[in-house]
Amino acid sequence: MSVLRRNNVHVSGDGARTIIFAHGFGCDQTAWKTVAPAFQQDYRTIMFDHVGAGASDLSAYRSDRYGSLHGYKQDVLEIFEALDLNHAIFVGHSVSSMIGMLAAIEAPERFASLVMVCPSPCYVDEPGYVGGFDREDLEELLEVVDSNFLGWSRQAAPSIMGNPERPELGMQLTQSFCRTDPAIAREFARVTFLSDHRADLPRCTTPTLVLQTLADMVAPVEVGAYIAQEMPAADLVVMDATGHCPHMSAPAETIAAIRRHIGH
Amino acid sequence: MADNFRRIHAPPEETLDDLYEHAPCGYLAMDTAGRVVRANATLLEWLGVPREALIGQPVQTIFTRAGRIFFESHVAPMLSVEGGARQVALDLARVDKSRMPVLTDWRSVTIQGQPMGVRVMLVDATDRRAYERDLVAERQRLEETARQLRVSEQRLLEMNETLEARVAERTAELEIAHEQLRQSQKLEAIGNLTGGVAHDFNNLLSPIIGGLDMLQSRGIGDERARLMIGNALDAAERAQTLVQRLLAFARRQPLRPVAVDIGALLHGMANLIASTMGARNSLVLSVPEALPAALADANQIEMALLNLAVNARDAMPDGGTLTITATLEADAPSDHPDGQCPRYIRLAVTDTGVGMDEATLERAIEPFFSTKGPGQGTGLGLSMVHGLAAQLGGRLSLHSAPGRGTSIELDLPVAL
Repeated sequence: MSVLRRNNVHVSGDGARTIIFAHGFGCDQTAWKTVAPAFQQDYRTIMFDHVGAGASDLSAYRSDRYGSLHGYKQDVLEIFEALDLNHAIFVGHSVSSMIGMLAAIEAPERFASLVMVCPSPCYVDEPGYVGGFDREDLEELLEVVDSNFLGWSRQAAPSIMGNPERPELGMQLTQSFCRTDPAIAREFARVTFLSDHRADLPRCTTPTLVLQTLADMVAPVEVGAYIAQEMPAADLVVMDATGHCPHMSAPAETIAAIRRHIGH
Repeated sequence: MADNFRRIHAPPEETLDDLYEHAPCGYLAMDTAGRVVRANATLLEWLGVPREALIGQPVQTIFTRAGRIFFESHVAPMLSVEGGARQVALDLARVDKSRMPVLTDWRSVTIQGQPMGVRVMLVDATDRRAYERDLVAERQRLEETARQLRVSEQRLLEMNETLEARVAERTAELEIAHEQLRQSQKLEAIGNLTGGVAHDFNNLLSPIIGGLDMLQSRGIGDERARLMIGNALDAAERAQTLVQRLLAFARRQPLRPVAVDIGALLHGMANLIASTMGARNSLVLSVPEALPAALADANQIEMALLNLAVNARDAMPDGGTLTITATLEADAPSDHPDGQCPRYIRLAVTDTGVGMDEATLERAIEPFFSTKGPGQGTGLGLSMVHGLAAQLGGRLSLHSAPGRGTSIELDLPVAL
């Protein structure tokens, strides 16, 4: 199984420099469909799906490997290896910000800079730290994830079985945006929202841009300030956009902020 | 007919506003910035907030914090990419801090291709969530059962793999037990045969000795005849001793088992044993104080010890040490499921001599089996000790290996 097939890697553009986009929890690479093309004139652009999301190879999912963000980090490094990427710009949304940071700590020569869109190193409130959530919130989140994806698996099966001559019906459902295998979604939620990578922040020396919105209900504004303060080479930019997905709700502002950071 | 019993009512004329406000589902609309611009009375009632508190707020604020994460990570991207989302499960955050599971449908409104906000319908999903919880719990239970089944299956496989080895082991144990039984049956048969012959022979010896005795006491015959009579009497008495040993092996000698202080017995015959052993060998005696008395025949035990000492001496032609110990032992409880653990006095006679190989050890207690040269041993010493042990309700065990000496243990019952 090739790494590029496993992570459904797409490469376009042919610039000298490379920019790679990584989606967050709940999405797939479609989330970058407006932002990424804006860079294709000047950059080689790469998009991929984390294993378990989008059109990645679900059979490659193993609970032990993906039981922490380090499994996802390993995938990112394997993609870099397969495409021989060096001095690349890594743009990660939400949990992928931390995945990119872990990869940059392990192989700093491969990263020219990091762009973190609405990142959080730790979602749970800890003494002296505001993450925005408590454990009970996260248990409720797992219940909501179950509730949504139980329905998905029940829906998908009959439409495949009832239309054997039209297997694409099932495929459409499985490939539908934001839908994924319920067991994987549950584990990804747990890994994402129970991870704590605050101690890793000072270890990343790669120049980093932290993009924060004012009304992000997933990563409160304090979290962005905390990251910028803890990382040795991070700039914080608070956007006009609101919500947790500015790359989707305010693509133009997001593109401009990334361009300013990477010097274009 | 029905009119006789009850009047039929229909809802009053409904305006569209009534329908909107009091529909059996929640309903709201939001602008392209995600702020609530309209909400129906049903939804406001579920939330427990007045209309003016909700209008203008970001739509996420009606959900629990968990619901907001799911909205941001799933619903907002779907609205952006697909223009709608169907059957999304979320939790409403009510003013009384409780949460209310709802199913939501989201549909973008576009006018002439221009996005004009989103319409949202919310349905109470409290019951549905409850049975989903049951479903998830049941699934987890099934997964646990399946896991346990896999473990059991693995154990069975492992047991099957070791079955052959365990059968071989058990078969070997049975073969050993069978061989031991065969050996004791052989000794029993030899004992019966020996006992019968020795008894008859003893009966024949009695008149011979009696006659010779009488001839000697009457001083009959000349000197030469008297010498011959004396020799004949000596030989007949040696024959009687031999017969006594045969009878002892065959457990037919008359015994007088009484409580015997083994320590006193050993110390009493230490000099005798030491002189039997000769100057080149040393003797070590070890008897704890307050050793209970054994149920035995003192004369026979003395004879047995002398026999064993002689054997030990012959096994140490270059000198060595003979150690005689007496200890109090008890059987392990595992050998006696009834909880009775018999105690016994163990007399151990250990030499540092040449030892015996396995074949010799196996035949050592057979009568007339001897490793000594012709005329040097009767082959009855150990046989007699074996017979004595059996007759007293004790037992005899032999431990030896070539070059490693020999230890012979005589277990005697404790006198009660």
